[in-house]
Amino acid sequence: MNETLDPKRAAAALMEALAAAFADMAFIDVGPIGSEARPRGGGSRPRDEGAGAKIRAAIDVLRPLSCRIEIECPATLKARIEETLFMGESGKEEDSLLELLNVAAGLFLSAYFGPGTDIKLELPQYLFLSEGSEGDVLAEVEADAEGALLRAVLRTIRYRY
Amino acid sequence: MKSYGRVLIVDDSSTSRMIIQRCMQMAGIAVADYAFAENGLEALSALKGGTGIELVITDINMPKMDGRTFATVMKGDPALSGIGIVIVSSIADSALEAELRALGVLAVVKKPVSPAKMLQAMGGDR
Repeated sequence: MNETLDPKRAAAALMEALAAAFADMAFIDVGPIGSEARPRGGGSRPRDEGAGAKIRAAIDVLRPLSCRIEIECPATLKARIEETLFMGESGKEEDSLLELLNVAAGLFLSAYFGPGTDIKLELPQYLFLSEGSEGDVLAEVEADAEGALLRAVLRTIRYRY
Repeated sequence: MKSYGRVLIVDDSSTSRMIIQRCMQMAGIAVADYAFAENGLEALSALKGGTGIELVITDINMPKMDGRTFATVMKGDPALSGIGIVIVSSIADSALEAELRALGVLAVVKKPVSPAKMLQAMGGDR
């Protein structure tokens, strides 16, 4: 990776990008855990389901820097997104989380590096929960998606091109 | 605002195809019928099948044939070059946007799409 990211600024930009993507596409409020903007009863942490009930996805960024953005959330959040978007009409597995990640990645990179930056993304993909993560953590956020725990991690990735 | 007979939405994401269609409907853009394709190759096949498509709305980042290549091929084919293209993309690359506009695309819409963005792209004034 040729660029150095400011972890705090990157985490803030990632949180904003996730919030915008989830709000605009799935009508779900996402924000920092314990945020006053979205009060939650008793101040408890959002639900963190067991490993078998989680979904993990990643998108690799080729430009303006090499990195990977991963998100992890309960499968129930994905189901809720698809119920909202497809209103129960789909009846099959949809790719809503991948598209949310794709859009959030574009928003994050535009916010961090500025509008008009030359951006190249790979296609988003689901990851096995048992799959290890390569690279160092550059920034990490834990967000409250209306009661569900949404984790996002920005990692260094080196491509052999 | 112009109304359309058939609109082809090209995106590898089923979620994105559905959102684009819904935004067009919410914006009040009159479309008689929608067709769908998952990449540029499928879209070219649909267009060459003579299905009466009047407008194409396409993503950029897709497998098999991306939106940039698809738009270039389409605008280089005299039989297809008159069909309008609107690009929707999660990336906002000013050089790519300039290249696409030089090709003759009508508008470049940054994802997430919204009814207002689609209306503006179609030349609406609401």
